[in-house]
Amino acid sequence: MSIISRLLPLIFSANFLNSVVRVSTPLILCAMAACIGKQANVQTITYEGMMLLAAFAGNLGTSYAKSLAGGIIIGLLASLAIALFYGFFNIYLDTYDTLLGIAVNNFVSFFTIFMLFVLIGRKSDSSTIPSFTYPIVNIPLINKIPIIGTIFTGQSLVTYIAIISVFVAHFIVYKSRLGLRIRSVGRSPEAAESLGIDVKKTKMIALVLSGLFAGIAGEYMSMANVSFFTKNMVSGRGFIGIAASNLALGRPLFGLLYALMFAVSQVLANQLQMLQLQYQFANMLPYIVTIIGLCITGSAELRKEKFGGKAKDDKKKAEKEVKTE
Amino acid sequence: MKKKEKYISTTQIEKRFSLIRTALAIVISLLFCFLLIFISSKQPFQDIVTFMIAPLTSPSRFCLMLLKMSPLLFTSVAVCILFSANTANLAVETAFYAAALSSSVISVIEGFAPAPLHFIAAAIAGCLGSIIVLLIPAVLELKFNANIVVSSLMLNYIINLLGNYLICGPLKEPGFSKEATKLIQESAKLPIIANVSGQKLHLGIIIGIICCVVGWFIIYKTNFGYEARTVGQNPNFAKFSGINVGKVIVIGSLIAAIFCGIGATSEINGYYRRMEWEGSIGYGWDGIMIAILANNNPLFCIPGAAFLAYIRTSADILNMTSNIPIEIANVVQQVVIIMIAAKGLLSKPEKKAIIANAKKQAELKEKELAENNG
Repeated sequence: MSIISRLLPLIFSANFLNSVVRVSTPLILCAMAACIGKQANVQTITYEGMMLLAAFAGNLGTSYAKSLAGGIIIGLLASLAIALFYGFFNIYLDTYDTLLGIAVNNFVSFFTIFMLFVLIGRKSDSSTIPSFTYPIVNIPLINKIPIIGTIFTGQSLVTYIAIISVFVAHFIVYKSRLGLRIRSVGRSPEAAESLGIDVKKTKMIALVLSGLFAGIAGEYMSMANVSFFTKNMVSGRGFIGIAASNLALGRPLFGLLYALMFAVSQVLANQLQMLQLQYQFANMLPYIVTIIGLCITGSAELRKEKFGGKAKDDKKKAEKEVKTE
Repeated sequence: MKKKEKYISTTQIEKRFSLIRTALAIVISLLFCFLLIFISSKQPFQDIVTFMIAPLTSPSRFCLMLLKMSPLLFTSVAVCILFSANTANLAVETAFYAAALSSSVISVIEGFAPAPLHFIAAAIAGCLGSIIVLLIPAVLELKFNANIVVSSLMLNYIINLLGNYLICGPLKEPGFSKEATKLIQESAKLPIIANVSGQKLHLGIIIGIICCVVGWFIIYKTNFGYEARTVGQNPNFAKFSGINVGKVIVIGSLIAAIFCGIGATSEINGYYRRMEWEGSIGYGWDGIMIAILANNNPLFCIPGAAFLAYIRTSADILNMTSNIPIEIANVVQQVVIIMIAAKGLLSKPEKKAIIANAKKQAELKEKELAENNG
């Protein structure tokens, strides 16, 4: 009881909501990437790797190119490289997706450590080199409103990009010609092919789009609130983004909702830690929420299938009755 | 000679191409590895030579390689069994860790049982740990249709955190400087079979090879193995032919968990003085790679594990003799996996060869017919 009574005031504070916005930014972007991938039925788990490589290349890029724009572009290119590599091997060379995903993620994880050591002689982080971060945006009028002010202004530019990205993803998937193609390829590749859509090419385009979103998500890790790269700094955020898109069945607006849910559980975990709950248990929370979420949507899908079957049976019964009459 | 040429079958061509593909994969990854060495080293040529032959240069280095090989045997057999039933259960990674944790609870008890019994009891405790971890994603998939890849990845994080808590909290020896359990009792330890200038080779590698043979027997010579392979190749066909898919997946996970349990116990009780892993250390991922290299055949896991251990030992020695970071082994390993898993590599020449062969055979048959008629 005492924990709860101490937790409640922490939750209903502007600070809490502020951290939710911060934590949710990469999750939202990654969820959008995964939503587009899911719509095209590209079941990849490499968003984790894309984010990590983008975080690495973006941070070191700003330092080598000596400009923010250069770093952003290098980071995005790195993420795109992973997306294209995955697409080439999975779609054109017929490599088993889960396996390729694990290999690519592990490759990036070790490759970044390797290159970090080769380039700056440290294995843990890049805090010794100068780097640039995304600017912080202050919106003039809103920052004077008490609670909303602390939540919605003074965030990194990426946070606003993340909010816009939800609408962009929604527009791409549901309102554009490309989105129609992507969805048709995802639902039924044979039918799409019969209509003259190049299935492989469409999947690659979807992957490129996901790669861009995941790239920005990765750059947020090392170029926004934190200005350096640490090894394995993405630590499962890519997987949580995938889980969010799985729960949302690939719909971007719902993806946003689930990403926010995970962010809330992550911040809650941090708060619980401050209340002297063992940090290991507190940090389990987002992962447990993910598993429960997977179970709920999974069994909902099962039920849908069952009811779908039942409806067909009912129809058959009705037809039989008509015949017997 | 001519007669032999005549009867090349399609499967023979496929086998030949899969060999070529494996060779090509290894060549490409070695080239990539050389590239990395060139980037990072001041004396690239010498380092490349070291990387290629280091484990064979002294008996103790070879012994080190065998030591690195032994845990890989267990996890790769476990993955073979899971993958042959097409269960992409990635919780193998932490199942091994959980087994190491739960077996150490028994291993550290003083005077628990005489020599072989103490080890066996610890191994059973280890199996219990890994069974729980491997069954969770399998059951969630069967009961709630939860995506097994994502749920097992999430479970990996949870078990790692739980293990970290246990090692830093309840299982830690109070007053000891490192985060580790109490000393593992002598009665629970595996016997040392060779002591080559400081490298103590324990019985684990022999148990591992036995496990590989047992795994091969299970997959290829038992009813369960047949059912599992059917489920793996075509789950719908398996369902319609009356195989209980859920049961196969659960039993497969159980057997895999037992291999993990035995493996983790032999690794900890053979090599270490205390259980000191603060998180899982990647033997599960390695097992996945070896199982793919071995095409889910546990017997081929033995050379596969040897290959991986060879790269690892080379990287270890390179790390000591030059400025190349040890991560190079893992990077190269991932490239090998990707190249070998790429089924489409060389698929065009393969198809061409098969078609050319079929045409040739048809022509030969026609000739034969003509000769017979004539």
